[in-house]
Amino acid sequence: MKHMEYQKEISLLLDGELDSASQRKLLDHMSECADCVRVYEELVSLNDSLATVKFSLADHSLADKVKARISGDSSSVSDAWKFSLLKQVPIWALIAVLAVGVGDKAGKTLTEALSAQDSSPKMDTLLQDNSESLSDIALDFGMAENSQ
Amino acid sequence: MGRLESLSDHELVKASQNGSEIYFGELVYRHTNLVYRIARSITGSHEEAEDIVQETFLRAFKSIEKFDESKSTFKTWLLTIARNQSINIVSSFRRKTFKFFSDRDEDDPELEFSSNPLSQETQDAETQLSIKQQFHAMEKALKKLPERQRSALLLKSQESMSYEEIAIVMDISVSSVESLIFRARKKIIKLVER
Repeated sequence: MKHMEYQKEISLLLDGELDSASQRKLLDHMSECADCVRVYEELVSLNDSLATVKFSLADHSLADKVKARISGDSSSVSDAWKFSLLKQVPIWALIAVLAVGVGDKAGKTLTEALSAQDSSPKMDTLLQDNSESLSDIALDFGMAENSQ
Repeated sequence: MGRLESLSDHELVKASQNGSEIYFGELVYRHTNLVYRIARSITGSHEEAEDIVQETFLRAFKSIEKFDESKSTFKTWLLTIARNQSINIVSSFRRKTFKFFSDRDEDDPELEFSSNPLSQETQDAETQLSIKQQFHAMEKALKKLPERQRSALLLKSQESMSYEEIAIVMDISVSSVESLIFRARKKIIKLVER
Protein backbone atom coordinates (compact mmCIF):
# COMPACT_ATOMS: atom_id res chain seq x y z
CA MET A 1 0.00 0.00 0.00
CA LYS A 2 1.24 3.47 -0.83
CA HIS A 3 2.22 5.90 1.88
CA MET A 4 -0.58 8.32 0.98
CA GLU A 5 -3.15 5.56 1.32
CA TYR A 6 -1.94 4.85 4.85
CA GLN A 7 -2.32 8.52 5.66
CA LYS A 8 -5.86 8.45 4.37
CA GLU A 9 -6.49 5.50 6.63
CA ILE A 10 -5.11 7.47 9.57
CA SER A 11 -7.80 10.06 8.86
CA LEU A 12 -10.41 7.28 8.83
CA LEU A 13 -9.00 5.80 12.05
CA LEU A 14 -9.35 9.13 13.86
CA ASP A 15 -12.96 9.37 12.70
CA GLY A 16 -13.77 5.82 13.82
CA GLU A 17 -14.52 4.82 10.25
CA LEU A 18 -11.81 2.17 9.74
CA ASP A 19 -12.67 -1.52 9.94
CA SER A 20 -10.75 -3.67 12.42
CA ALA A 21 -8.69 -5.57 9.82
CA SER A 22 -7.48 -2.34 8.24
CA GLN A 23 -6.83 -0.88 11.69
CA ARG A 24 -4.48 -3.75 12.54
CA LYS A 25 -2.67 -3.38 9.25
CA LEU A 26 -2.29 0.36 9.73
CA LEU A 27 -1.01 0.06 13.29
CA ASP A 28 1.56 -2.50 12.12
CA HIS A 29 2.72 -0.06 9.48
CA MET A 30 2.86 2.84 11.94
CA SER A 31 5.06 0.85 14.28
CA GLU A 32 7.74 1.05 11.58
CA CYS A 33 6.95 4.38 9.90
CA ALA A 34 7.93 7.61 11.64
CA ASP A 35 6.31 9.71 8.89
CA CYS A 36 2.91 8.16 9.45
CA VAL A 37 3.25 8.59 13.23
CA ARG A 38 3.98 12.28 12.61
CA VAL A 39 0.92 12.58 10.36
CA TYR A 40 -1.18 10.87 13.02
CA GLU A 41 0.02 13.36 15.65
CA GLU A 42 -0.63 16.31 13.32
CA LEU A 43 -4.15 15.13 12.65
CA VAL A 44 -4.88 14.63 16.35
CA SER A 45 -3.62 18.14 17.05
CA LEU A 46 -5.69 19.51 14.17
CA ASN A 47 -8.81 17.85 15.54
CA ASP A 48 -8.21 19.50 18.92
CA SER A 49 -7.74 22.89 17.27
CA LEU A 50 -10.85 22.52 15.15
CA ALA A 51 -12.86 21.95 18.29
CA THR A 52 -11.88 25.46 19.42
CA VAL A 53 -13.07 27.10 16.21
CA LYS A 54 -16.66 26.49 17.07
CA PHE A 55 -19.24 29.19 16.58
CA SER A 56 -21.99 29.26 19.08
CA LEU A 57 -24.84 31.59 19.93
CA ALA A 58 -24.64 33.25 23.29
CA ASP A 59 -28.32 32.84 24.18
CA HIS A 60 -31.71 31.60 22.98
CA SER A 61 -32.74 34.86 21.34
CA LEU A 62 -32.43 33.46 17.82
CA ALA A 63 -34.37 30.34 18.80
CA ASP A 64 -37.06 32.59 20.32
CA LYS A 65 -37.20 34.60 17.10
CA VAL A 66 -37.61 31.39 15.09
CA LYS A 67 -40.40 30.20 17.40
CA ALA A 68 -42.17 33.54 17.11
CA ARG A 69 -42.00 33.35 13.33
CA ILE A 70 -43.35 29.81 13.36
CA SER A 71 -46.24 30.89 15.61
CA GLY A 72 -46.84 33.88 13.35
CA ASP A 73 -46.86 31.71 10.28
CA SER A 74 -49.20 29.11 11.71
CA SER A 75 -51.53 31.82 13.07
CA SER A 76 -51.47 33.48 9.69
CA VAL A 77 -52.40 30.08 8.26
CA SER A 78 -55.36 29.87 10.64
CA ASP A 79 -56.19 33.53 9.93
CA ALA A 80 -56.22 32.68 6.26
CA TRP A 81 -58.54 29.81 7.02
CA LYS A 82 -60.83 32.10 9.02
CA PHE A 83 -60.72 34.66 6.22
CA SER A 84 -61.63 32.05 3.66
CA LEU A 85 -64.53 31.05 5.90
CA LEU A 86 -65.62 34.66 6.11
CA LYS A 87 -65.38 34.90 2.36
CA GLN A 88 -67.75 31.98 2.14
CA VAL A 89 -70.39 33.66 4.33
CA PRO A 90 -71.54 36.13 1.65
CA ILE A 91 -71.85 33.22 -0.77
CA TRP A 92 -74.27 31.48 1.60
CA ALA A 93 -75.97 34.78 2.28
CA LEU A 94 -76.27 35.37 -1.45
CA ILE A 95 -77.78 31.95 -1.92
CA ALA A 96 -80.29 32.69 0.87
CA VAL A 97 -81.16 36.09 -0.60
CA LEU A 98 -81.56 34.53 -4.02
CA ALA A 99 -83.83 31.85 -2.60
CA VAL A 100 -86.00 34.46 -0.90
CA GLY A 101 -85.90 36.67 -3.96
CA VAL A 102 -86.89 33.87 -6.31
CA GLY A 103 -89.73 32.99 -3.96
CA ASP A 104 -90.92 36.61 -4.03
CA LYS A 105 -90.92 36.62 -7.81
CA ALA A 106 -92.88 33.38 -8.04
CA GLY A 107 -95.72 33.50 -10.52
CA LYS A 108 -94.24 36.40 -12.44
CA THR A 109 -92.84 36.36 -15.93
CA LEU A 110 -89.12 36.76 -16.46
CA THR A 111 -89.65 40.32 -17.70
CA GLU A 112 -91.70 41.15 -14.65
CA ALA A 113 -89.22 39.50 -12.35
CA LEU A 114 -86.31 41.39 -13.86
CA SER A 115 -88.19 44.67 -14.21
CA ALA A 116 -87.68 47.15 -11.41
CA GLN A 117 -91.34 48.16 -11.60
CA ASP A 118 -93.94 46.11 -9.90
CA SER A 119 -96.92 45.06 -12.05
CA SER A 120 -99.54 45.79 -9.41
CA PRO A 121 -99.70 49.57 -10.02
CA LYS A 122 -100.54 48.80 -13.67
CA MET A 123 -103.50 46.74 -12.51
CA ASP A 124 -104.55 49.69 -10.35
CA THR A 125 -104.73 51.92 -13.41
CA LEU A 126 -106.67 49.31 -15.35
CA LEU A 127 -109.09 48.58 -12.55
CA GLN A 128 -109.76 51.69 -10.59
CA ASP A 129 -110.44 50.83 -7.07
CA ASN A 130 -113.80 52.26 -6.07
CA SER A 131 -114.07 49.82 -3.28
CA GLU A 132 -115.90 47.52 -5.62
CA SER A 133 -115.14 43.91 -6.19
CA LEU A 134 -114.72 42.38 -9.60
CA SER A 135 -118.14 40.74 -9.32
CA ASP A 136 -119.76 44.17 -8.59
CA ILE A 137 -118.18 45.59 -11.73
CA ALA A 138 -119.33 42.60 -13.80
CA LEU A 139 -122.84 42.96 -12.35
CA ASP A 140 -122.88 46.68 -13.19
CA PHE A 141 -121.67 45.88 -16.72
CA GLY A 142 -124.48 43.23 -17.15
CA MET A 143 -127.19 45.57 -15.88
CA ALA A 144 -126.11 48.31 -18.31
CA GLU A 145 -126.33 45.87 -21.23
CA ASN A 146 -129.81 44.75 -20.22
CA SER A 147 -131.04 48.29 -19.93
CA GLN A 148 -130.04 49.00 -23.54
CA MET B 1 -35.55 18.67 33.65
CA GLY B 2 -38.82 19.73 32.03
CA ARG B 3 -41.15 17.33 30.31
CA LEU B 4 -40.22 18.49 26.83
CA GLU B 5 -36.50 18.34 27.54
CA SER B 6 -36.80 14.71 28.58
CA LEU B 7 -38.30 13.71 25.24
CA SER B 8 -36.15 12.37 22.42
CA ASP B 9 -35.96 14.01 18.99
CA HIS B 10 -37.98 11.09 17.67
CA GLU B 11 -40.81 11.73 20.14
CA LEU B 12 -40.75 15.47 19.48
CA VAL B 13 -40.85 14.89 15.74
CA LYS B 14 -43.84 12.55 16.08
CA ALA B 15 -45.72 15.12 18.17
CA SER B 16 -44.77 17.88 15.73
CA GLN B 17 -46.09 15.80 12.86
CA ASN B 18 -49.43 15.80 14.66
CA GLY B 19 -49.38 19.58 14.46
CA SER B 20 -47.88 20.54 17.82
CA GLU B 21 -46.00 23.82 17.67
CA ILE B 22 -44.79 23.47 21.26
CA TYR B 23 -42.96 20.23 20.55
CA PHE B 24 -41.43 21.66 17.40
CA GLY B 25 -40.31 24.64 19.49
CA GLU B 26 -38.24 22.31 21.64
CA LEU B 27 -36.57 20.97 18.48
CA VAL B 28 -35.78 24.57 17.56
CA TYR B 29 -34.10 25.15 20.94
CA ARG B 30 -32.10 21.96 20.61
CA HIS B 31 -30.77 22.47 17.12
CA THR B 32 -30.45 26.23 16.61
CA ASN B 33 -26.72 26.25 17.34
CA LEU B 34 -26.10 23.28 15.07
CA VAL B 35 -27.90 24.91 12.13
CA TYR B 36 -26.24 28.24 12.89
CA ARG B 37 -22.77 26.66 12.79
CA ILE B 38 -23.24 24.96 9.42
CA ALA B 39 -24.77 28.14 7.95
CA ARG B 40 -22.02 30.27 9.42
CA SER B 41 -19.27 27.98 8.15
CA ILE B 42 -20.67 28.12 4.61
CA THR B 43 -21.63 31.78 4.37
CA GLY B 44 -18.99 33.27 6.67
CA SER B 45 -21.54 35.80 7.86
CA HIS B 46 -23.33 36.04 11.20
CA GLU B 47 -26.32 37.92 9.74
CA GLU B 48 -26.80 35.52 6.88
CA ALA B 49 -26.41 32.55 9.18
CA GLU B 50 -29.19 33.95 11.38
CA ASP B 51 -31.47 34.36 8.36
CA ILE B 52 -30.67 30.83 7.24
CA VAL B 53 -31.48 29.45 10.71
CA GLN B 54 -34.91 31.08 10.54
CA GLU B 55 -35.65 29.94 7.01
CA THR B 56 -34.42 26.42 7.73
CA PHE B 57 -36.73 25.95 10.71
CA LEU B 58 -39.69 27.52 8.91
CA ARG B 59 -39.20 25.15 6.00
CA ALA B 60 -38.75 22.23 8.34
CA PHE B 61 -41.94 23.12 10.22
CA LYS B 62 -43.93 23.44 7.01
CA SER B 63 -42.75 20.09 5.69
CA ILE B 64 -42.41 18.14 8.95
CA GLU B 65 -45.29 15.89 7.86
CA LYS B 66 -43.20 14.73 4.89
CA PHE B 67 -40.15 13.93 7.00
CA ASP B 68 -39.47 10.19 6.96
CA GLU B 69 -37.43 8.93 9.90
CA SER B 70 -36.69 5.66 8.14
CA LYS B 71 -34.50 7.60 5.69
CA SER B 72 -32.55 9.89 8.03
CA THR B 73 -32.48 11.39 11.50
CA PHE B 74 -34.14 14.73 12.16
CA LYS B 75 -30.71 16.32 12.69
CA THR B 76 -29.45 15.06 9.31
CA TRP B 77 -32.63 16.19 7.57
CA LEU B 78 -32.42 19.63 9.17
CA LEU B 79 -28.77 20.05 8.20
CA THR B 80 -29.59 19.07 4.63
CA ILE B 81 -32.13 21.90 4.47
CA ALA B 82 -29.68 24.31 6.14
CA ARG B 83 -26.85 23.43 3.79
CA ASN B 84 -29.01 23.85 0.70
CA GLN B 85 -30.24 27.22 1.96
CA SER B 86 -26.68 28.32 2.70
CA ILE B 87 -25.41 27.27 -0.70
CA ASN B 88 -28.26 29.15 -2.37
CA ILE B 89 -27.24 32.29 -0.52
CA VAL B 90 -23.55 31.84 -1.27
CA SER B 91 -24.39 31.29 -4.93
CA SER B 92 -26.47 34.41 -5.15
CA PHE B 93 -25.13 37.33 -7.13
CA ARG B 94 -25.17 39.63 -4.13
CA ARG B 95 -23.15 37.23 -2.04
CA LYS B 96 -20.62 36.59 -4.80
CA THR B 97 -20.00 40.22 -5.51
CA PHE B 98 -20.11 41.88 -2.14
CA LYS B 99 -19.81 39.45 0.68
CA PHE B 100 -17.87 36.30 -0.14
CA PHE B 101 -14.39 37.72 0.15
CA SER B 102 -15.08 40.01 3.05
CA ASP B 103 -13.52 39.20 6.39
CA ARG B 104 -15.35 38.49 9.58
CA ASP B 105 -15.95 41.31 11.96
CA GLU B 106 -13.22 41.16 14.58
CA ASP B 107 -15.68 42.14 17.30
CA ASP B 108 -18.04 39.32 16.46
CA PRO B 109 -19.58 38.28 19.75
CA GLU B 110 -20.50 34.82 18.56
CA LEU B 111 -17.15 33.12 18.93
CA GLU B 112 -17.28 30.34 21.39
CA PHE B 113 -14.27 30.64 23.62
CA SER B 114 -16.31 29.88 26.68
CA SER B 115 -16.88 26.25 25.75
CA ASN B 116 -13.19 25.67 25.44
CA PRO B 117 -11.83 24.25 28.71
CA LEU B 118 -8.61 26.13 28.11
CA SER B 119 -10.39 29.45 28.08
CA GLN B 120 -11.56 29.73 31.65
CA GLU B 121 -11.17 33.04 33.41
CA THR B 122 -8.40 31.57 35.53
CA GLN B 123 -6.06 31.59 32.53
CA ASP B 124 -3.44 34.22 32.29
CA ALA B 125 -3.51 36.84 29.57
CA GLU B 126 -0.68 35.21 27.63
CA THR B 127 -2.51 31.90 27.33
CA GLN B 128 -5.69 33.70 26.32
CA LEU B 129 -3.82 35.54 23.60
CA SER B 130 -2.23 32.34 22.35
CA ILE B 131 -5.63 30.64 22.14
CA LYS B 132 -7.08 33.62 20.34
CA GLN B 133 -4.24 33.57 17.81
CA GLN B 134 -4.67 29.85 17.29
CA PHE B 135 -8.38 30.41 16.81
CA HIS B 136 -7.90 33.10 14.19
CA ALA B 137 -5.22 31.13 12.34
CA MET B 138 -7.51 28.11 12.20
CA GLU B 139 -10.49 30.17 11.15
CA LYS B 140 -8.48 31.84 8.39
CA ALA B 141 -7.28 28.48 7.14
CA LEU B 142 -10.80 27.10 7.18
CA LYS B 143 -11.99 30.00 5.06
CA LYS B 144 -9.45 29.10 2.40
CA LEU B 145 -10.83 25.59 1.99
CA PRO B 146 -13.34 24.87 -0.74
CA GLU B 147 -16.85 24.86 0.71
CA ARG B 148 -17.35 21.09 0.32
CA GLN B 149 -14.10 20.28 2.11
CA ARG B 150 -14.85 22.76 4.88
CA SER B 151 -18.41 21.51 5.41
CA ALA B 152 -17.41 17.84 5.47
CA LEU B 153 -14.55 18.51 7.88
CA LEU B 154 -16.62 20.60 10.28
CA LEU B 155 -19.55 18.21 10.28
CA LYS B 156 -17.09 15.52 11.33
CA SER B 157 -14.84 17.38 13.75
CA GLN B 158 -17.42 19.66 15.39
CA GLU B 159 -20.69 17.81 15.07
CA SER B 160 -19.26 14.28 15.35
CA MET B 161 -21.40 13.03 12.50
CA SER B 162 -20.68 9.72 10.80
CA TYR B 163 -19.48 9.65 7.20
CA GLU B 164 -22.83 8.17 6.24
CA GLU B 165 -24.73 11.08 7.82
CA ILE B 166 -22.41 13.61 6.19
CA ALA B 167 -22.98 11.89 2.86
CA ILE B 168 -26.75 12.35 3.30
CA VAL B 169 -26.44 16.01 4.28
CA MET B 170 -24.13 16.79 1.36
CA ASP B 171 -25.85 14.47 -1.10
CA ILE B 172 -22.62 12.70 -2.05
CA SER B 173 -21.19 9.19 -1.61
CA VAL B 174 -19.44 7.99 1.54
CA SER B 175 -16.18 7.58 -0.39
CA SER B 176 -16.43 11.22 -1.49
CA VAL B 177 -16.82 12.22 2.16
CA GLU B 178 -13.65 10.23 3.00
CA SER B 179 -11.70 12.04 0.27
CA LEU B 180 -13.06 15.49 1.12
CA ILE B 181 -12.18 15.17 4.80
CA PHE B 182 -8.71 13.79 4.10
CA ARG B 183 -7.91 16.50 1.54
CA ALA B 184 -9.28 19.18 3.88
CA ARG B 185 -7.03 17.98 6.69
CA LYS B 186 -3.93 17.86 4.50
CA LYS B 187 -4.61 21.33 3.14
CA ILE B 188 -5.39 22.93 6.47
CA ILE B 189 -2.20 21.55 8.02
CA LYS B 190 -0.20 23.11 5.20
CA LEU B 191 -2.05 26.43 5.59
CA VAL B 192 -1.52 26.60 9.34
CA GLU B 193 2.18 25.69 8.97
CA ARG B 194 2.82 28.70 6.71
